[in-house]
Amino acid sequence: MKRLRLAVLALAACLAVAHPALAAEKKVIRMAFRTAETGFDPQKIFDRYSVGICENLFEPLLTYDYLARPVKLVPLVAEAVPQPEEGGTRYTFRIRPGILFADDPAFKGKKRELTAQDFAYSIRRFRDPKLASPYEWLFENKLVGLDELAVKAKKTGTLDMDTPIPGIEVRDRYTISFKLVEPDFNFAYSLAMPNVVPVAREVVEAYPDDTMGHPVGTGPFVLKEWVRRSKIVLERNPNHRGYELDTRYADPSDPWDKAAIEALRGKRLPVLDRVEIYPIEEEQPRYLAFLNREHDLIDETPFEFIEQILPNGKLAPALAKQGVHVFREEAPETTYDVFNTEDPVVGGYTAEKVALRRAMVLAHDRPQEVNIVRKGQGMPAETPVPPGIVGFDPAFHSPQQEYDPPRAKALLDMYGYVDKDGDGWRDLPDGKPFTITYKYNARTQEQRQIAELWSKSMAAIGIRVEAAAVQFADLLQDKRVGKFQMASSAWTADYPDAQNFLQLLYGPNTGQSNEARFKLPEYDKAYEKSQRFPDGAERSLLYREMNRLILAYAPWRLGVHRVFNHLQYPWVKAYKKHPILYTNFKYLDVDVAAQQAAQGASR
Amino acid sequence: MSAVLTENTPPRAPQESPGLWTLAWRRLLQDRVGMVALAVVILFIAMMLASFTGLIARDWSKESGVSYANPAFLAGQENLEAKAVAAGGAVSKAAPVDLSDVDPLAPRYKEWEERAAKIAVTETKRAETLAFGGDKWGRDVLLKVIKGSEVSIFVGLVAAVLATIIGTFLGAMAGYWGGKTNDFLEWFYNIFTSIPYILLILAFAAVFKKGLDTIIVILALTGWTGIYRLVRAEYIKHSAREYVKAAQAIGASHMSRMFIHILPNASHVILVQLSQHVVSFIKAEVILSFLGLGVPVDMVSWGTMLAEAQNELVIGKWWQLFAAGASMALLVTAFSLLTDSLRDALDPKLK
Repeated sequence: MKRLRLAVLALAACLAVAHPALAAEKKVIRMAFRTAETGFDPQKIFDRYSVGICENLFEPLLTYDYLARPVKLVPLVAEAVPQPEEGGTRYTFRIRPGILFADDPAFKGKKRELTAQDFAYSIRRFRDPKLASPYEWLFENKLVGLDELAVKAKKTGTLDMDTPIPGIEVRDRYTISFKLVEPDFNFAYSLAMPNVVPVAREVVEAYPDDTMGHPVGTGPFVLKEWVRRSKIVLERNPNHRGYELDTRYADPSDPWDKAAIEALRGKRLPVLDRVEIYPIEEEQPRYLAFLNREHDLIDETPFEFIEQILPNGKLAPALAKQGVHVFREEAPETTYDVFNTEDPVVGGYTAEKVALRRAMVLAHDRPQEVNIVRKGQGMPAETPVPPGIVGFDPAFHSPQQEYDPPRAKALLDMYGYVDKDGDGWRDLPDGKPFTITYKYNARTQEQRQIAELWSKSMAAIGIRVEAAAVQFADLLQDKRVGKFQMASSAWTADYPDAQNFLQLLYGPNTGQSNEARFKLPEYDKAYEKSQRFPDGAERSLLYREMNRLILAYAPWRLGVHRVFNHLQYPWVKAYKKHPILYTNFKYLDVDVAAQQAAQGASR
Repeated sequence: MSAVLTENTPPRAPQESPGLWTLAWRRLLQDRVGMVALAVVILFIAMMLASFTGLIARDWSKESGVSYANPAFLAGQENLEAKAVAAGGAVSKAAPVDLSDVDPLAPRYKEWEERAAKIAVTETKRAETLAFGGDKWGRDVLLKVIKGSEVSIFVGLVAAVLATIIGTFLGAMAGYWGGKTNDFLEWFYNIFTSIPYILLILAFAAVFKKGLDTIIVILALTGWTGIYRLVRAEYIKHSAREYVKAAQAIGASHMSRMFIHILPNASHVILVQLSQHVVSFIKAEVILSFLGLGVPVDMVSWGTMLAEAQNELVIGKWWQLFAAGASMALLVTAFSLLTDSLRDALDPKLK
């Protein structure tokens, strides 16, 4: 009798699984990332894709409104966006009580509430020498007393996490106040960055060697499964409090806003149960996975296929028939090729050294990069600062970044970079032959074409450039430690201010975000001065000065500000791409019936 | 009637018995498929040599057509990519920013302008169509295929020769000496073959610096194992034969017995192996380049062409894939057929 009952139960269970109505309950989104992630320790990571995952696992004090454009800071775990006090040197936050971390064995079965102490700990982590955080610069020369701790830590090897410092003042369980060394009107932005987020000290200490694989935060999702470089699965965090979509700052005439408000009316966010992300670096399989409906959406559609998607600027009929939506985004980002200014060949600040870099910039066929590699989906950059960012200067233009091979050749001839040994390639002024190595991300055709373009543009003026393909994670590492001559790069806004781009060449940021290892006293002085001003005429003047120095010393070849096309099938609801935040999973909804009908039909 | 039975034997011409090679050649000449295959292979090698010496396809990298120029036989087809390039991007109309007060090059601005003005700019007109179409940059696909053959065939041939030399030498050692030498080489062989082939190639490719010579070395170092086994077996068989004993009796050294007496008798095996490996190495080069581990960006091979073509196929530009794929298919098929014929021709049992 008992056996029979068991069999009946098993049968019922089978039926339940097979029954479509029951399976339909789960709301799942599948998509690809264009590059593999590196890990999920927010204070340790640098690349946009890993940070993008952290946006869903952790929560900063502040964030950006989903719908507001231009972007708007709103509180997230803080109760309000603080007003700068004491002349822009103090910011005080009150944290909402009752916010819980996701469950983890490190909490020993208890619910763990988020407190002010967690922020104090996490921000100190940026300065921990053991972490070697690439975002250490965010809190360098910033919080009173923190630099002194960091200096001590350099000697002892570990940062003192306990001694209170005046810069990070924990007033009570829920109140934290930051005291700045100098006025900084962009400070609130840095507290909205998806890597300036609280981690729990118990968790970090429980997995000291694998913090990258053990992200535990207060975010709407948890990391359910991680197969390095091939699969990331997020599932809804059962401890998350949930919230409703804020529509105060939406633009009622914007069709994306309207659709999002309509789709999310009355719903608790996040709506999705599960998000599956597959890093696929090659363009073609990533695009085909979308076309075959294996993926529900594709962000940053490869440029190669643009005439398939938007022939003559209009959505292709085949896609339109399926109801595919395209979101076009002028991304607040800049691509560039970086010279290592400490390199004996391409580095240096003397006229002779600068001349080589400037000539290479002039001879690099950027029109082909824009039109052929990027299929016209980008605007040539005049300065590092992209449009849509506070401090962007539309009137700034210089022929020093324009394609002009005769001027490049003339410059090389003038400074003695001529072919002395008769092998058809130019030599250094002292007569030695030279070859420049260009490092790029191995796995994509787009990057290979960019490397190819460098190689052939330079060959046209007699400079030998050898392209070396490396893995993305290794490329990031090599650039950080200065193990390169020239490399491809790109930067996306962490916060919507030009400062975020200009810091990329600030001398003290060498070894972190200053990949060029560029150290020019005039530039550094202007940068430091600019931090003390709020947005206005004085600051714009300083920004302009810095941009001029960049053009004159050419630590970079400026690339483009890319225009991205994000595609979604009609069953993906409430989609809108945010210029600063990389993902929007917590706002998405999915029409499961339509999704399953369509995906079933294609299989 | 009696008849005298005369021994009516024809006058025996002083007959020279044809050697192994002459016989083989005669047999090959009768094999029509083999001869066609041989002609195709020779044609490809001639093309490769002509390209290598610069007789043809010298300016393969010249961008003579528009982006993705149509093949001549598809002249009317719409080329959206080229149209977009022609339309160009937005150019800033803002007045140029003056850098002279911060620019380290400022003192020589005047000289710079003068010199630049003297350098002539030659604007080439880009063709709308090319014989067999153009690639992304507007380079002629036909010239690319020819230039690409240089890398692909060269790599295939040289790597196969190297692998054969390694395999033959080690095989001869193991087979001839036997004993400890044999045990050691067998052990070495087992280790090598226990690793999956592609994985082994990838491991080597990850360790060595990228470049053409590296690919050759990798393929040679990973490809010798099959040849080694066959040659070893031949040597075991032959070293006990009478002719080798005879050679020993007249005082031939070990080396001379191994490489002067036995080697010619095992050469048919080696030759067939050589040509089989050429085929598999041409394919391996294509795979390596396709995976981005192969030739550098400023060179072209069939593998890099196929890698480029994977994106192009989605947007309907099939000619590069076709050109590279068809050439490779033709050469590989011809080489395989030739190998088949060679094996038939060289097998002494098939007289």
